[in-house]
Amino acid sequence: MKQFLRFYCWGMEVKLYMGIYTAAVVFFQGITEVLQGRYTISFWVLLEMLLVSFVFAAIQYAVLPAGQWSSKGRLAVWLLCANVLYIGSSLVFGWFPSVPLWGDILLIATLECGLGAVWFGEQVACWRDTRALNRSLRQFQEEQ
Amino acid sequence: MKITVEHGDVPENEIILRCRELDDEMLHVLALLRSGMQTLCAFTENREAVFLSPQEVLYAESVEERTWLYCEGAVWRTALTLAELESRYESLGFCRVSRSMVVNLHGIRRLKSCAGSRIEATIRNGERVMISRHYGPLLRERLGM
Repeated sequence: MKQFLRFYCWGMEVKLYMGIYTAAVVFFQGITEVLQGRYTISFWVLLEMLLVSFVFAAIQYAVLPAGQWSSKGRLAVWLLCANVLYIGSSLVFGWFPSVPLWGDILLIATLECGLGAVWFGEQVACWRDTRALNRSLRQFQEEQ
Repeated sequence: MKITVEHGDVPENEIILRCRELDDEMLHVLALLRSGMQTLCAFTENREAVFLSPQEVLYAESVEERTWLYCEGAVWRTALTLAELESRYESLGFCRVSRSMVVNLHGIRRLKSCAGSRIEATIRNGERVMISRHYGPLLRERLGM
């Protein structure tokens, strides 16, 4: 039961990030398709994006466990994995066909910005919560 | 263990523990008696009893079914369990932060929020304790958040 609950918690966290990353990749794939006059996305492409995002979310869970988002070494590994997985998969599976070179560069820049935004979001959320926690702690210590 | 209650015309209530040596049972009795007086009974490796103020305790940890009290510069053993420590000294700031640890909230220097709803507590002696997502909400509740 304990093992199952641990696995369940792991699944909850990994699936949360998997969902975020899948939505982002599908969104940008959709934009490139619309700009080229196509209005459909293949089911297989969606499945590939979902699986790649799942793998990356699982790697993220292992590389950046709770409280490790400020470790530079772990962040570098996380960035490397993201780039290898998403750029590699888009080349192997042909996610962005007929996109000119400048478009590829723009997509890679968007990927880097997106990863930066995830890191920044984690930092800001933690920073605000830390401030509230310490304020409540001081208040508790002064009251008693 | 034999328990005797004597009624008599005495100026002050008195409890005398008579034993050959301070074994685990006696230490537990002593700890329970002392906890009612807002003092904490601890003992050394040589089973010499020491009475501490709960405010001196930074945190308590259970290791292999033994409970250790960590103060600034000293570590003591107590016969009380973590659940007993938590329930008896809750009003003095004792708070359960993991299955094997109770922290005195007055002994925390700072808190840091971490990803995954976890909280890192830095104790006054520099020790860092990771509070899991299970105990995090309990700590927040104790702090009135």
